[in-house]
Amino acid sequence: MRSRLRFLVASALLFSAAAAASRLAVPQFFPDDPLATDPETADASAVRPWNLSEEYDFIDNTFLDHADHSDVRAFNVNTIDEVPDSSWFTNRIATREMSDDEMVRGPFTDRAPAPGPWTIIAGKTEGITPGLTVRDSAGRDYFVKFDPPSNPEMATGAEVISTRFFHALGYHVPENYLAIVRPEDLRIDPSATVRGVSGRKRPFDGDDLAIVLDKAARREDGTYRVTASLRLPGTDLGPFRYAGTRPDDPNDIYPHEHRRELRGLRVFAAWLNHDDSRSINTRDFLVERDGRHIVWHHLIDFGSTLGSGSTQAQSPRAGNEYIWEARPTFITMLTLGLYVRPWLKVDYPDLAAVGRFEAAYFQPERWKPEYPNPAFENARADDEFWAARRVLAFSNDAIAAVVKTGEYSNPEAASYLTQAIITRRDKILQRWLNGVLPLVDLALSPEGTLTFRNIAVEAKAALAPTGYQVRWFTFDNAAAIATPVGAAVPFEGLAVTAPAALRAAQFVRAELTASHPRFPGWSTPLTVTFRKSDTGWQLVGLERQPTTRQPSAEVAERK
Amino acid sequence: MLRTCSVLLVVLACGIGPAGAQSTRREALEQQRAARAADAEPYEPGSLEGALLYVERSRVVERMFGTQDGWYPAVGSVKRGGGFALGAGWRRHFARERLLFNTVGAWTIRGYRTGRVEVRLPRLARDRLEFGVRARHSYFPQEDYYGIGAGSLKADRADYLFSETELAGFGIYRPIPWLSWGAQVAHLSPSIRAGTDSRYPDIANQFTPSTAPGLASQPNFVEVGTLVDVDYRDQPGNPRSGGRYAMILARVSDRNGSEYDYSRVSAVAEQYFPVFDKKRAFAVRVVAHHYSPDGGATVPFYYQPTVGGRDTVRGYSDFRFRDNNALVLNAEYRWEAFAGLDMALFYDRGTVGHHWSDLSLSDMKQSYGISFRFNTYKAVFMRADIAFGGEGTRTYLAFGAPLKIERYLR
Repeated sequence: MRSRLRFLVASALLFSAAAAASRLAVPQFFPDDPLATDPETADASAVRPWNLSEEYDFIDNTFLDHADHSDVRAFNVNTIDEVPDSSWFTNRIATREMSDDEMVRGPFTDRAPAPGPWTIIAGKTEGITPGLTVRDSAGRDYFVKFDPPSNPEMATGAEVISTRFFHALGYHVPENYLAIVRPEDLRIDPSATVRGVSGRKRPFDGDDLAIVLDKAARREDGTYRVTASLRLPGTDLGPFRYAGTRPDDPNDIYPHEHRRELRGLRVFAAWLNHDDSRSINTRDFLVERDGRHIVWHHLIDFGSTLGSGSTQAQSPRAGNEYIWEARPTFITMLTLGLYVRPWLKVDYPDLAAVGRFEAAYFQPERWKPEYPNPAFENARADDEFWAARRVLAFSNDAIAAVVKTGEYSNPEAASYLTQAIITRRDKILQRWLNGVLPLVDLALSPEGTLTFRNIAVEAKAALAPTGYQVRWFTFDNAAAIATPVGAAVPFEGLAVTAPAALRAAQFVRAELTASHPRFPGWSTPLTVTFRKSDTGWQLVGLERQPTTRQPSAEVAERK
Repeated sequence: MLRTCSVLLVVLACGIGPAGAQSTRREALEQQRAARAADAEPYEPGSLEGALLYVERSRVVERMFGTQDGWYPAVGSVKRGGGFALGAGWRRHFARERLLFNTVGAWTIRGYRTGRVEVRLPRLARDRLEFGVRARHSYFPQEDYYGIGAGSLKADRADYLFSETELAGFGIYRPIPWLSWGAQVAHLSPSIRAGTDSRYPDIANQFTPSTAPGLASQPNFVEVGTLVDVDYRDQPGNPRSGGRYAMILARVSDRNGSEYDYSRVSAVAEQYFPVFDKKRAFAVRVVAHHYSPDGGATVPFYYQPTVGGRDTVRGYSDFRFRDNNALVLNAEYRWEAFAGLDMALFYDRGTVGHHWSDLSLSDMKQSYGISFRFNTYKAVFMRADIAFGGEGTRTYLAFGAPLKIERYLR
């Protein structure tokens, strides 16, 4: 171990020296920047499945914390601060037009369970979440989950709604279909097995099915509402982790705690109360793409989102406090329980299909998953802005359309849920659109006019500033050196013209700031770089928050 | 250091800055991945993670607290006051888990030991019916006896060895999840001898058969009993709401004569009142025992109900008071410090009497204290109780939840 460490240290130093030397010789921006797709071209067929100890994951993230918490920009963003498509993420909402119909369609590919009986090929009676693995008449395999008797429609509704949200947001998710099943349509395959109380696999029988159905919400007509999750393609490799990399995956070069889409997941998890956003609810599969094997990464199991806690209404602690937090624990101990955590006093609607989900008490920046998630902890203002832009792209109608897919029998449940998600969205925009200067669609016209939009103002998450400041630079791409052209210039409106002297340059850089009494993040310089092309100026660089390499105040406070 | 180096490597090599002597970003990333492919190696968990994975893979928790087949460790206690126990067991299911064979033995640092062999049919009629037979031998060499009645003196503490062999058969019917009806027949062969705790006098030197009924001889017994149990607590292993109401009726017959024939009735009522989503709960419990000897007969002291100790009045030592009748009242205020620790303030009262009418609510032994319960949502796995009042401050470290009715079932 020590020799390996020494080797790594030496390699790092050598690499640093080599990179520093090469920095003088290679450009800051390559001709193919910004990349739209991450070239995961290495063959990963040698990757082996691994197991995750849930207990270790809790201990590691709560007490040991092996993750790196340097205040660095997410590693996998391209030069314009966006996440290229990859085995982790596919750009959908906010990067292109996405209709409500497309959001509702989600990841579904018309492979809902075929009509006819389902054949049970495996069961799960142990534990608190019973379930079945079934094969439909078309020969496709699904994992079937039920609602708890105390909360009909809650877990299944949360599952199908969140599946669509996370898909639209860009993550890879299973096809979780909502279905109604009659007990008489469930056949038991003679080879079906279950791990019984003995811990050994044995044949699954009618008694086992009765146990599963006893723990499920039964509808008045004797049927059961379920989610049928289509088996994901490929070889199951186990969950991914929110820190480090998978050492046998050659494409996995970015530590996961520094991946933008995993840092930004904090925003989406807060929005939809995905408190169970931990490794155990992720899955990697080895799949074949373009003639080679790569590892495809998924978020799975959204049964514990919104107001659902899978087998009961969500715990009021969910989203408000980690499983272990020293301060409230000791205060509660020392006051003999007279100190009552504020979130215990929150009122929830009496809607069994919703569970515990609300928007009035919700404070985005204080939201927490079950236990610390290193990627969430590393989320900086630029990561949160990136995520908030996607949340912004969900219109009220789109949210209502997605909630409708929960097919709640009580219209009040759908109405309440829709409004709560909308209110939480607005709180998220207020908080996380304003952590940096919220300018988008920056463009430099052939005539040298820089234009942009302020989406926080457009979203009514902030009032317009009295003005902006811009400082212009020429940029030597080969040497990566920016040379200022004049002093910073104040201007009003959403356009400013570059000095005429810059128009002859190959690269032009602008540094924009604004001051806002409520949002200090607006004064953090937004740096954009344009490259001259045959058709005009092309945006090749965008950075919203500089890297300090030390944990930022925000990250440190969160930890 | 390791992770800092890794971060440094990636920062230098990827999108943050320019990479190597490539002509495109794509090329740079492809080369980086090719280099990583050369160094790819399977993940090796560290020692803690490896140990936890081993525990998971070997299903150690299921072996200890569940019904996993195979060898399992027996950790905890074999008898109140017997000390920390260690042992091992082996169990195996047959016939699609409808038949269970189980054997276990455990020893304590104070020389207590117990062994049990049982065969059960636990999954009949879709889990509604259960039958079983068992043979058990207990050897408790340092039992305490203070005399009969609420007025017994602490200074009279004497020591004895109790051993017993039990052969029993039982059946339980659960027509609905919260209702059980059970019946049991047991053959008991108890024996009393000199104890091994040299700090206290032997029972035979301190007491006589008239002050310790059953001391002179220990016949065999047959006990026939029935149990009705209404249990609608939310989590039986760590209840925070609901209640449990149970009654046991039993007839105990002296197989060598009628000197020790008696009947017993034990009733337990416990109720939980949750507030703040069960993060706070008030618990109250009443336990009553009425042992009624036949005319001219007596209840042997070693089968009499007792008051004192970790399950009754915690400010007194285990088995401090005993007689034919006993009444115990417990009240607790519980609060959750965090998901893995509950705390409680408790108040206990209890007394014994030779006749039911001797039990006086105004003249009960009492104690109070504070408790720390290390738990999961479903079960308390260890608790520490610190009790005050009574006969001094007492601290108990115990396994399992407090106020367990199972302690009154044979």
